[in-house]
Formats: sequence, C-alpha cells, structure tokens
Amino acid sequence: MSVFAQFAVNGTVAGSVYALIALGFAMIFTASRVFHFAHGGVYTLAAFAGYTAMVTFKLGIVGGFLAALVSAAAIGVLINILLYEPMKTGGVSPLVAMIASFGVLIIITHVTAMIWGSNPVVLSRGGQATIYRLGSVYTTDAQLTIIGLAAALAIALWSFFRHMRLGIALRAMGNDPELAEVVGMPARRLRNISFIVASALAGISAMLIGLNVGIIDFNMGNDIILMATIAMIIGGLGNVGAAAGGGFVLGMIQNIAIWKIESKWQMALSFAILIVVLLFRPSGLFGEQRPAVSV
Amino acid sequence: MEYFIYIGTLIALYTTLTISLNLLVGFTGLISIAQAGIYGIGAYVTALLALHVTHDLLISFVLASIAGVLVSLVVALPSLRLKNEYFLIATMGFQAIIFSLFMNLEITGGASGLYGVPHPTLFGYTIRTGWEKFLLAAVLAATCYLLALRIANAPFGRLLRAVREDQTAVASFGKSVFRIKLSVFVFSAVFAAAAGTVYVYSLTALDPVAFALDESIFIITLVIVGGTGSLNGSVFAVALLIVLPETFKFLAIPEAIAPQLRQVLYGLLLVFFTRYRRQGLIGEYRDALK
Repeated sequence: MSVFAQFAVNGTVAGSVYALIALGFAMIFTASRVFHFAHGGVYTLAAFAGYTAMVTFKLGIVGGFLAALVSAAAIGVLINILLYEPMKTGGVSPLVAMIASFGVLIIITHVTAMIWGSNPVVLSRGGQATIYRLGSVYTTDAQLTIIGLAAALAIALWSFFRHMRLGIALRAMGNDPELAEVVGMPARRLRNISFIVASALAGISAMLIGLNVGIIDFNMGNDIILMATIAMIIGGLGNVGAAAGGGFVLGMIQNIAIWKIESKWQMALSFAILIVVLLFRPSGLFGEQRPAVSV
Repeated sequence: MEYFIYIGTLIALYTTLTISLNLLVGFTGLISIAQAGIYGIGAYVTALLALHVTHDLLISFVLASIAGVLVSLVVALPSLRLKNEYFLIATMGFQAIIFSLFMNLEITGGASGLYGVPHPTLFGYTIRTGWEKFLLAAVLAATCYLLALRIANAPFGRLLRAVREDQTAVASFGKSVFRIKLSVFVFSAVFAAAAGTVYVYSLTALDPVAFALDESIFIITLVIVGGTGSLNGSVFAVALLIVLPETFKFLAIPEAIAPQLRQVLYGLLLVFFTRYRRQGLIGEYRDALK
C-alpha cells in the first residue's frame, strides 16, 4: 500500500507540473484558438534566463524567478504580436498558425542550445532540499510548492474565466472573435494579455520545475509541451480548469501505470490515451459537450 | 567524390519522402506528421529482414511497403475521422507511439539502432558501391515523381484538389471522401516505406533518431517551403535545404553550433513561409494552405 501511496504522490507532482503548463497553453488556446507549441520554447528559455540571473549573476532566488517571469512574458507576447496576430489579420487558419508555432519552438530551442550549450546545467539554490516524510511517503518542499501553486492557479483561473468580466470576455473572444470585435471588445489587447499571463506562468513553472529536478537543458520544453497538449485535450478543450484537471489525470495515470508498465512506455501510453479520447470523447473528460472535433 | 554521392543520395531520399507527403498535404489538404514513422517502419522491416532472412532488394521493397501500408492504415483509419488540427495531433500521437516502439523494443535494438546490415542483391548482383546506391535512390525518387505527376494530372488528381477545397461538394457528387483520402495515405506510405529500404541499404545501418517527430516536422517544412501542391517545388526545396547547411562546413562555423544553426535555419524557413509565402517557392496558388 505504501508503494501505491508513493506512486500517488509522484503522480500528483507530475500532474501538477503538467497542469501548470497546460493552464497557460489552454488559456492561449481559449483566447486565440492556436495550439501554441512554442509555449514549450518560452518555458525552456525562461528557465535559462532564470539560471543566468540566479547562478551567473548571483541575483538570488527572487532575481531568478523575476528574470524567468519577465523574459517569458516578453517572448510570449512578442510571438503573438509578430506572428499570430498578423496571421489572424491575414485570414490564415489556426492550423497554419499551429505549424508556424512548431517553427518557433525549433528556433527558440536551438538558439537556447547555441547560447547556453547543449549539455544540461545544474540549477540549484544551494544547500539541501528539505524532505518531508509522511508515514512511508516522501516529498520535498519544491514539490509541495508545485502542487500548491498548480491547485491555487487552477482554481483562480477557473473562477476568473467563469465569473470575472475580463475572463468571460476572453472566452467570448475565443468562441467568436468577429462578434467580439463587433460588440466593441479590444480583441487584440485581450489576446496580448492572455499571452503575457500564460507565458509568465510558464516562466514561474520552469523555475519551480528546474529547481525540483535540479538540472535544466535545452530540450526540457519539448516533452512537456506535448504532455500539456495531451492534458488539454483529455481534460476538455477551451476550458482552463479542465486542462488542469487533464494534467492531474495524466500525471496520475503515468505514475500509477509504472506499477505494471515500465516507465519507458510513458510517452507511448500518454499518446495512446490521447488518441482514445480524441476518438471516443472529443469533448474531453471535464469539458462541455461540443461537436467541434470530428468531421 | 564520395561526399557528393552521399549528398545526392540524401537529396533523392528526401525527394521521395517530400513528394509522397506533398500528395497528402498539398493535394488533399491532410497535414500528417507521421511520415517519418512510416519511413522508419520501412527501414526497420528492411534491416531486420536483411539481418535475419534475406537481403534481396525486391523482396525488401515489397515487404517494407506492405508493412508501411498496414501501419499507415492503423494511423489513417482513426485519424481520418478527425479534422484539421485534430487530425494533425492524432498523427503526431501515432508518430510518438511508433518512435517509442523503435526506441524501446528488444528486436529494434533500442537507442543504438541496428547495424551490420548486408549489401542488397538484385537478381544475384550485389549492390555495393556508393554510386550504385545513389542510382537506386534516384530511381526510387524518379518513380515517385513520375507517378505523383501522373496522379496530379489525372482525373483522380482533380478529385484530390476538390477534396482539399470543399469536401461537402465532393461528397454531394456521391464520391467517398474517406476512401479518396485513404488511398492517398496508402500511396504515400508505399513510397515512405520504400525510402526506408533505400536508407537502410545506403548506410547498412539505421539510427532511430532518423525517424523521430523532428524528422516528420522537417519533411513538412520541405513540403511547405517547396510549395504545397507543387512537385517541382518539393524537389527544389529538398535540394536547397539539404545543400544549404552543408555550406556551413566551408564557412568556418564552429562544429559545436553548426547542427544547432541548421535547425534554427529550418525553423526560420518554416515560420517565414507560413507567415509570408504560403504558396511556397513554386506554389500552385496562395490559398492551398489556408
């Protein structure tokens, strides 16, 4: 039983990590209908910006987080202003924007490798991590922070999109951008806000996760953005809370599956779940019923 | 000289992969990123056959293609029920699953791949030299080009474009959109798998990394840069994007960053063409990628 409890804790940590990235990914999808794969690149670059501030310039942990947050927000909103907005104005479909987004992901990832090298670097605030023990289950302070932050943000963003004017405006715009502009909503500015908030979130997550793992490398955003995509779709499209829920479910399944299936099959298992959900429950586990996916 | 033959073989291989994918993306409007996976199926089937059973070239082609078609059906049957972004994501899922099988199965040799593959034989003649292997790759590329050209100009090619433009209209004429899409998928898979056969026999080894998601995205980049729906564009883009990074070798760019720079170049081209020139270098018309 204790083994199971440890798997469940690991699953919660992994699920929270996915949820943190999926939240921002879903927020951007809700506002602009783009699968913003470059979000993974923003995440990677933020970790390295934080590393430079914290380790190279010795600005402390607060400086590290600030650098990650600011650089992520800046890059994220720049991608929107320079790429997605002009494409939207030109009447290009989100499908093409999605392909362009792969290009941006490749550029950011490899520029990061050119600047900071292609070997992993150690990200540590020095000293020992505090380890908590609950019965036979172990966890660290960084892991608890990740779980807490993911839960708090999921609830905050869910109520923001449900109850606050700005949140409702963002959702309306995602559903029908033309109508939103007709009724006088500043669509462009609203989308930019989404990119800033979601990217800043990715920046904070990158630092938290980097500190928890202890090392960062230029590929770190690639797998995680795939997991965020899976999380958003199995949770339910166009719903930020559902994406976070999808992240938790995915992390849980992956870690509990380790019991029976070797961890090397995690990626294949996750994508198999994605395909099953796409085919049989396209609205996701927690999403509203909508026939948008199938032909 | 060996170097130029190697570059020529690469160009021929990617021409086959790009043209077969262009029929899917450019003519039919289906953006699949499982092409590298199917290419890999052909390569693994060929390598395993050659190592354990036979290295007869024709048998390799036939069995690799059959395997490629079977796997492409597994990919296509569920994915074709989805549209646009969701079709792309489903094919990406299959790509990830196929790659994971290559990396983790016992028989595929894991991350180190397979090596020591014998040279192929054709009617008792052993194809040994780099030059002969280049010819093999070139014949495959030419066959793929000519067949694709024939399809593009045939009534079936018009039907494909009609599917891209307006599925509902095609369906209302009593044509099965699903069957049309499926047949293009299968055609594409035959050539991707055959390219896998040529890849294995050229290198007499295989490396799973050649069949990863990045590779699928690279092939899509080639299709888009060349121009969706343009066969000549595909050939041109392949030649340009393979040769261009090779010039880094002569430009005194440090070896540590050359591979990164190559990826950055590909990423920039993908962004540039999707943003500013969606018809590609030699595109059919601007809105092929809407």
